[in-house]
Amino acid sequence: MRQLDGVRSLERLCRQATGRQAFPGQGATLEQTVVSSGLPSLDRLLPCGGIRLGSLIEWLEPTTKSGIETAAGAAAFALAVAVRLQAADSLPAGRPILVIDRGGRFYPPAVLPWLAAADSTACHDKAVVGRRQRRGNSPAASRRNDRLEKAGTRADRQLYVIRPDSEADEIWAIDQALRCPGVAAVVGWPQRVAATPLRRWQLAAKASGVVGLFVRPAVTRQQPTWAEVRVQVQPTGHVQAAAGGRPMTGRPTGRASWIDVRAYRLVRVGGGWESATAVAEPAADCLLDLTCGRECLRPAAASLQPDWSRSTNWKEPVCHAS
Amino acid sequence: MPRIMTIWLPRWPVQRLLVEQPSLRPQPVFVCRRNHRGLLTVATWAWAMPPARPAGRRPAIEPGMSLAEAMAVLAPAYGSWACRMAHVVDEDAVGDRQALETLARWARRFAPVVAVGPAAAAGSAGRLAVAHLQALASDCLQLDVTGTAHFFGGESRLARTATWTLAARGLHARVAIADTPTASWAAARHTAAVAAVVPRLQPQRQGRWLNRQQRWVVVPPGQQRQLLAGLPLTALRLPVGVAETLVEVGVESIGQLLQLSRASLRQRFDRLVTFRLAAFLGETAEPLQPPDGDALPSASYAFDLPVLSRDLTGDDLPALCDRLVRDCLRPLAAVGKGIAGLQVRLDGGSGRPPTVIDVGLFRPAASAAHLVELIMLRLSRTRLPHELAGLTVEVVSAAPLPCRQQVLFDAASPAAVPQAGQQVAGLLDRLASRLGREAVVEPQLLADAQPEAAWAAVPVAGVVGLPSGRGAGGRVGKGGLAAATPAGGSCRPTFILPRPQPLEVLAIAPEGPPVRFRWQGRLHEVALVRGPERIETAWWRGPTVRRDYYIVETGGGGRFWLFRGLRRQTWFLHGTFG
Repeated sequence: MRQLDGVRSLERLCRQATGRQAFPGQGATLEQTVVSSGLPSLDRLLPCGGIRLGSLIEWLEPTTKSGIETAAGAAAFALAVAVRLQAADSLPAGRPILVIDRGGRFYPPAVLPWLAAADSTACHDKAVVGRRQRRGNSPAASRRNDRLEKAGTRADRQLYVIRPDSEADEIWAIDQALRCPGVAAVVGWPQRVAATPLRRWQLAAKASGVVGLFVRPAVTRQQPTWAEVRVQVQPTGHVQAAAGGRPMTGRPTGRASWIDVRAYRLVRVGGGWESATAVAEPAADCLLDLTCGRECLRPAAASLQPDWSRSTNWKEPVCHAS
Repeated sequence: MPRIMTIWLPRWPVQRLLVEQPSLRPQPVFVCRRNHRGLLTVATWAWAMPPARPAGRRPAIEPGMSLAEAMAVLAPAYGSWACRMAHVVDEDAVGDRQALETLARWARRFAPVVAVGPAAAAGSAGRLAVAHLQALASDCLQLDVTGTAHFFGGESRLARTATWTLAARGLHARVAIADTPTASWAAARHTAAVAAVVPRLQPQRQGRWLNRQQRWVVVPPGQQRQLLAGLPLTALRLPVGVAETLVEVGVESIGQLLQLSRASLRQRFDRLVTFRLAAFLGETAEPLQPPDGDALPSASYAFDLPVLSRDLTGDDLPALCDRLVRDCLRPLAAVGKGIAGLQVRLDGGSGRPPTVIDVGLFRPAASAAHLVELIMLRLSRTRLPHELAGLTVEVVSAAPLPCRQQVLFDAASPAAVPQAGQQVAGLLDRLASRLGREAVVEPQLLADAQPEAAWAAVPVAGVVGLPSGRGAGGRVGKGGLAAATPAGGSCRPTFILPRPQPLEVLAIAPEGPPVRFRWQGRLHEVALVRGPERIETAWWRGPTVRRDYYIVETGGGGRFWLFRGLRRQTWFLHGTFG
């Protein structure tokens, strides 16, 4: 701990003295670039109002486990941020997302629709198209449909899944992916990482401008990190909590029903060696629409009223028979 | 006048299959393809060793018949047991084509220029219904034997040598030599008819009995107009529609067609007719096109004495590979190609099989350093043979490199974007080299309601020797995202269990939603539930999958994906929204 503090102050001193960095991994232009994370409440939470290119962000699970063991939704959140980063207008197109999935449990159909929906203007647009498609093809619906088709067929939204077998391979794969400037974001859920590979990852990301998003269990909160930001992702129960505990059956946007929306409480718990100092932790609430991976803006008070006419909403059966 | 030799391999898909699996020779073999309605139709069939033919007629099974019809024809001719022992395989057009190209490389012993010949005309005998298959569905080789025949003792002997050398490899071939590719193609299809009219200019003294089945024929120079006049119009590779129109007006053979004036033919019929006639007579040039990847380079290095692989220092093998890879790249660079797949053979000491490493690339590459890095990544995971006698690097497939303009000031300029794409390709190659081909995948949605089958993992690195499904240098599945939308349209979990895990679940109503369940030793109270989403599918894969899926949110905020198997009414956990 003390040593690492020393490293950090040495770096700062070098920068002050020579205007250069003590360690390789330059890129003054990249370091300045801050991109919106695409989720307004997360932007408000992050120290520089967005995600700095070439930085690592850790998403802490609320429990001691991570990945499939917990169902808290931190991985979904990290993936949503990765998709928004890929779709950012200010960055060149055609950069893939790399998901490093050691356990082989990742289920891409959760995320692939987000890639297709990343271009459409609004989240509910897609939902409307979906509904019209079933009811019949009005000209307006077919126009919107065309637009959506175009959005979906854009071939520059790519996602690759890397499945290493061992921990060593996983660390190597993340390191390699972070070194490649053509990658939009690297998403991973490494279980145990020592400080040395983390530092290596951070230098690699800094040099290339790739953003690394790592989901880690809550126990790592006690450990120092090289990540710039650490965000604890905590699901805050169901959305009804926001509506005063009453069962909420209204619909937020379009076809998405409330169960497609997940409420999170994001707490910034340090990062960048600030974990030791226990200052007041900034927090934000976020509603993530799981059908398109976008933030669902806080609904107006009117729509929070329970819609008793559709109280059987949850029982709506969907049948796929073939 | 050039001299062209055509080697026709009748029923090539079956012949190839029988060469690869000689155990199939006693059985009737049907190579089938699905037509646009999903019906299995016969593409080719053969029975290499039929029983002594019964009194009945030979079964007339035409390509394009449905398999059931073919069986109905086969049964009365040989008995129903023939249908039971019939071996039915799917057509593999790409494999056939590649095997033919391999044969073309082998056939360079006869002539320097060898090409894969044209396929029969579209729609002939209902064979080629699919347009993209037609380019592949060739079954002949064409060799430019101008000036090479005398090495073999004359054209007749050359044809005989070719026929019988192929026969020694288990391949039945018909060979014809004529002035033009079109004429020799026509003669090869009808060797018996042509042999009947060809005058024996030089009477064959020896080996005449070898040709009693008229497997080869030589059309003397400049005589195709007279000797091939009796052949039907399909020999000119005219489409069936055009040939039928000509037959309706009484033109049935090439000779009759030649008597008509060319100008009136051009007015009344397809332009193809006059074009083929001109090619037949040699009035227009018809160059042979050697197949792509014909001259793939390879380089090898042999040690003077076998060295122990443990004596090699860390830099020896990379330096050696670098030298060999550069040797391979040099001829490719001249034609603007890069390596898309290569094979490294480490020859062990005496009597040991070589260790072979296949490296398939995401995109063709021309950088020796990158290729050597990939080879070394793979070698680091391979057990080297005890002794090394030599090293061979062979390019298995090459593809054109995407042309790129050099950037002088490479900053965040727009021109730097393709460079970034190339870096991604290099990254994927490295990952696939160390982690294995199956470990680097691109997910693609499939239109399948069963969650486990709703996506496919497509490896991004190509298979060596086969072009990967993406096409050289292309992207994986252009419309991958739009090809299928996830069935159901509702959100799916982030993680899924490889096989659903049984759960203890309490539900109030017998078919109602869950109320609480136990997982990992903890009791989870269900706070919110959506469902059921009923899935009934996959009866063609085995037992029908019948499940009611529920999205469940617990009091602690965790989200789970449960289902109730409808067969036994038991609950399973299938995934989590982690």
